Amino acid sequence: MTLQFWGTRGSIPTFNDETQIYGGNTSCVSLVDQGTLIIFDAGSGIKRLTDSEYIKGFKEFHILLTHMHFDHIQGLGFFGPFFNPENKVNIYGPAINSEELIKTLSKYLSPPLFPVRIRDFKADVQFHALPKRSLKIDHLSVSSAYLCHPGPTLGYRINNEQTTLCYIPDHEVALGVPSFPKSTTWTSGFDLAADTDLLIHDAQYSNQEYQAKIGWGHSSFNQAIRFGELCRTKKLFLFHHDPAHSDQQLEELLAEQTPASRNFEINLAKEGDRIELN
Amino acid sequence: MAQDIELILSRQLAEYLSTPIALVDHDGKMIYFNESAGHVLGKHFDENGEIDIRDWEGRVFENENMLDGVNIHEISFIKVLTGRHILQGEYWMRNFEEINQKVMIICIPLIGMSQREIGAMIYFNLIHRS
Repeated sequence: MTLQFWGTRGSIPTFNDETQIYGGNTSCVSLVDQGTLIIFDAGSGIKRLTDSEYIKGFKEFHILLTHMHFDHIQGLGFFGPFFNPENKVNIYGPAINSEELIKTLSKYLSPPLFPVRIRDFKADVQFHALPKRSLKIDHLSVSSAYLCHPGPTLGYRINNEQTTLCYIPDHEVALGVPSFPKSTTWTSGFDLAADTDLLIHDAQYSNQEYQAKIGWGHSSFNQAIRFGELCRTKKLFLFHHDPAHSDQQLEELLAEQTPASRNFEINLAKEGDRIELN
Repeated sequence: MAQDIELILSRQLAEYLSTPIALVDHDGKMIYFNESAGHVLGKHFDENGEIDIRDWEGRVFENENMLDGVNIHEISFIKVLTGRHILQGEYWMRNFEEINQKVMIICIPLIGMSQREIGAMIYFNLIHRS
């Protein structure tokens, strides 16, 4: 199982001298396992994926959208495989049914916001409404569930026979919780992230910033790390970096918030990084 | 297993309210009640945790004589859960401290996203104690 980060930034693409290490593209992560390609979210990072050699040879694509905020779909219209009639592209996202999913995405993928309509895509494009407790994409088991974030927002848990990973890019895990973490039963996202080999989780804010942005739908470094600990993950990647945070600030926050004693790995998600699992 | 997000958010709201509120799951189990609801019920959630439907349904009565327990499957909470309509009524309740009291109960079904039947939110308003 190979994971690659194509976009790790939250909210808005942010390119400047201070985002060169961890990247400026918005959410997009690919997963390849035994010939199956899954793409988590279609932020601006999906353009970098499209332009890479990485997807050459694939004819079927599975794009798992967590929600419809713009930083998670803004790259969708630039996904090259849409324009090849030999391709099949499956788009999954939070909706009551596939018609609703098409309707929501069409708000962006149509004039005047975008010149190309969904019906103009050449590939065979299929839409799938989620959440579902369990779904099979080839040999991979996928489960999805709603999370605490403004608007319907999903997280994903995927596993093959050996490895389990979880993708939760936008999540205010401690909203309204006076003392976090609570019991696992009352913690948003716990079932998805429990006992995973790898967890990608929202860590947009410092503790101080979080206090000023309660209810905005994101977690602090500290909350993400505590959530990782509660879920007994083996490897945590802090994700959805705040556009105002420089590379140096991200590293300072990581150093400041990483507990001296811990039994799991904590990393900053870095655009371009490839992680081999299994 | 973690609760549905709609219940998690409802509990978080209820924790901040002085309005007496309890949450029941789809099977009628009282999975959370706030401090004010605990006062009416005669139990504290932090000390006692969840209350199974069998433990609390026999404490609600239609009449002051409290002889005939309300058939809970007929009148109310389960009906709210499955019928998707709001219940409002005045009942008599013998709480867990064995205090008899008249309460107004408003029970609102919680229908989650994608039309999932998740449970109900119950508001208890204490009218008077006998």
